[in-house]
Amino acid sequence: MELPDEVIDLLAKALKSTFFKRMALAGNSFGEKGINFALDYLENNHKLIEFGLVNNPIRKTTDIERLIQLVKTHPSIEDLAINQCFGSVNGYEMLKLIMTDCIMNKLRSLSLRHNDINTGGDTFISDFITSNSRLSSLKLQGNKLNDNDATIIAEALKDNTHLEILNIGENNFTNEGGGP
Amino acid sequence: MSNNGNTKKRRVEGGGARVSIDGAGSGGESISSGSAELIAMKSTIDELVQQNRTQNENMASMLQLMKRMQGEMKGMRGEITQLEEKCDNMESSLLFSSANHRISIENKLGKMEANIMEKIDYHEILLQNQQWKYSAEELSDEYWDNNANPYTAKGFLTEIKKCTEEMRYGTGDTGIVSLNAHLPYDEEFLPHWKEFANALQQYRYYLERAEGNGSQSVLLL
Repeated sequence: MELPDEVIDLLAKALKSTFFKRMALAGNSFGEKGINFALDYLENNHKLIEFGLVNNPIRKTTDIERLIQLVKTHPSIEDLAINQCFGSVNGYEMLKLIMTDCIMNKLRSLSLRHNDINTGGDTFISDFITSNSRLSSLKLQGNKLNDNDATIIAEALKDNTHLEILNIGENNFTNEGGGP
Repeated sequence: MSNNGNTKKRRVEGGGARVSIDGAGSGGESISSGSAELIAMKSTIDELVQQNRTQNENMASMLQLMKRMQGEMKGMRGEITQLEEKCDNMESSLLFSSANHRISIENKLGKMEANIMEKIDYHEILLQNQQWKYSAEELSDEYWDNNANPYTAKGFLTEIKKCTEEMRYGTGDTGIVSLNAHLPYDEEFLPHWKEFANALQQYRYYLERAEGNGSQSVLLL
């Protein structure tokens, strides 16, 4: 659903005091104004439990940082989905920013699908899984995880008792690596 | 002893009694009479001593009684002080409890008032919406003739109108607002977006009511 600036203005005004518990914006072809509209809604709506941005590129690191700050301080948010949004920013760095303890101890589910996430051999994801945060669902489909990532993630799962859903399909696994 | 017929008098005084012994012209009779008087005096003195002893005993008893009463009074004063303290505590507790009770009642009243106002607002919106009509004009045939995606665009306009009417009339899946279309934006859609946004703005009354009923609320755009 394409949302140009004039429609964003109408929606921003309409949603100032109309608070949904779940909100997702997908493929809206909006720029900075649209991202700000979405983040403003997250900031003002203290009833929001689920917030999703899909195929709405976040081009500025400062917007990611604001998103993280808002989630950190939000009174009710539990489910966060930022899929196909890290077009020009480094997906893996964004993942690391988002998956810090203080955010993850708050979230119940996190989806970072199709964000060009490439660990480059780093163990942040597996270390996070080992840390056993309260997260029960982690979706990382459509990224650039490889066989090595799959191996250490599988090992890390042995120490995790909270994660019920882990989806890492559509990554760069080979048959030899025993991908999912 | 007598001297020249003069009567010699001896006085014994005690306890208010007075006995006189006359020595003149009485002889044995006089001695006998004096002995009787002495006996009477002794008796009187004994009586006086007894009275004195009784008075002393009474005095001691009185002093004991006073001492006991003083002790009891002291105890009573202590009890009075304790009772006064209790009274003060009860009074302040009562005041505190009454203030708390008042605050609690005020809070409850405030919530009830807010709830009633919310219901009134909701019903006013319901009434207003009964008169409301979707006002965005339908697009002309000429527009559709020149449109590259007429079916998709018509589908979108049908969907946005349906969604808007559901928000106004409170029909459909209350709490769920979902618009999904894959087509580029067109300025001709703006009046429809205005209708949609206006409906969205007043939809908060429905959402608040839906929330009270435990329903979910979802916005997908």
